[in-house]
Amino acid sequence: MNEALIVSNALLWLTVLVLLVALIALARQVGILHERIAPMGALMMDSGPKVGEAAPELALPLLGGGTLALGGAKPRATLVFFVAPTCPVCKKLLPIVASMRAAERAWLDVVLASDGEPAEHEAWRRRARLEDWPYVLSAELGMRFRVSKLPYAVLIDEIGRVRAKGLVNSREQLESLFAARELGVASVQEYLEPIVRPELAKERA
Amino acid sequence: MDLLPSIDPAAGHGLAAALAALLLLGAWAKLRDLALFRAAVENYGLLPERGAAAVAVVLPCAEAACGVLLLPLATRGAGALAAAALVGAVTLAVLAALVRGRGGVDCGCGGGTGSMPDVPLGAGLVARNGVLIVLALAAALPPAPRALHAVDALSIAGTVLFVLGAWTLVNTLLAHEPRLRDGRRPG
Repeated sequence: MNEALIVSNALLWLTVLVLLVALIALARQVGILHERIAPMGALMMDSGPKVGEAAPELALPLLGGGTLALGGAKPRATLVFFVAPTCPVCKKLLPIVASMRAAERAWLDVVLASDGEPAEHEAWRRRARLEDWPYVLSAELGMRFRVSKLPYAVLIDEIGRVRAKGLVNSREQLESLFAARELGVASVQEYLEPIVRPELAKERA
Repeated sequence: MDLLPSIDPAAGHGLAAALAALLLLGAWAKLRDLALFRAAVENYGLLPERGAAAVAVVLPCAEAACGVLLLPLATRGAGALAAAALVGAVTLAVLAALVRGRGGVDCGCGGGTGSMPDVPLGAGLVARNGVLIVLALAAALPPAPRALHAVDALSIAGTVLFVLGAWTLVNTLLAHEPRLRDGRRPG
């Protein structure tokens, strides 16, 4: 009898833990699914400009007045860095973006982009000492690029094409955006493809 | 005669070990990316920059110390009470930030990069911490005098795994909650 209870106890613990793991997996999947479908509701037809395609030409309202023209042919490339005052990773990356902005100033403009209440962003910009950065507030910009997670960056070249884009959590990921440009290819993936999977690259050509 | 009620030793050992694991994992996640945690503390908007930098270092160290104190039986009571006080203090900071209208800011509890989003400040986080305080107070109770059997090892291991799993689950659900709310459209 005692032995049977011990066995049943062990089996029950096993069942509880297996069910818990299944529940965690389901909770994660809910999040992933939500991420995939959430922007679609707002913008059913647009899947965001792909790397190599032209960036949308937009006139964006600047924080503190004025507008900024994005996209189209320009003398310099533009890095759009999507941030929010509520995102600590953005704050952590800002000094890195600032040093890149200084190092690449010969060819690159950096634009901060966000959306929401201007007063909140104004206060954050003062606290983070970003007064001399162009800072646009536009929900449309985020939707056009389907930004679902922050911090997100988009590199637009001189002729207005998207050169690289993606979620950036570290200096390495930010630098990879520039690597594509320096190699003279649309993306690092495109550069690696003939090396990693030559038959696939030949098919595409 | 002890005025405090006692807790079954299997439950006590299991709870203490589980809490120690949570605190040590939390401290490790914060110390691994101190710059990120400092930014999260600054985002609470309660402290000047230098104060936030100091808190960002002291808090995870205190968290780790509580976790270590929880492990030996001799220091378990002190460790559990310190952990309850620490979580209580942090929760007061969360409430203060919420009162100042900073709901939705990442809590800095660990995570926030990669696939696992961070938990945002909100009522859910306060409730989660409330449960944690109750568990810490329960772990502080003296264990009842009872001989442990082999099957108790199963209960203790099960409790630890269950608490860690439930913790991950609650954090995942809390992290997704604002996105579900944003996605809700009128009509």
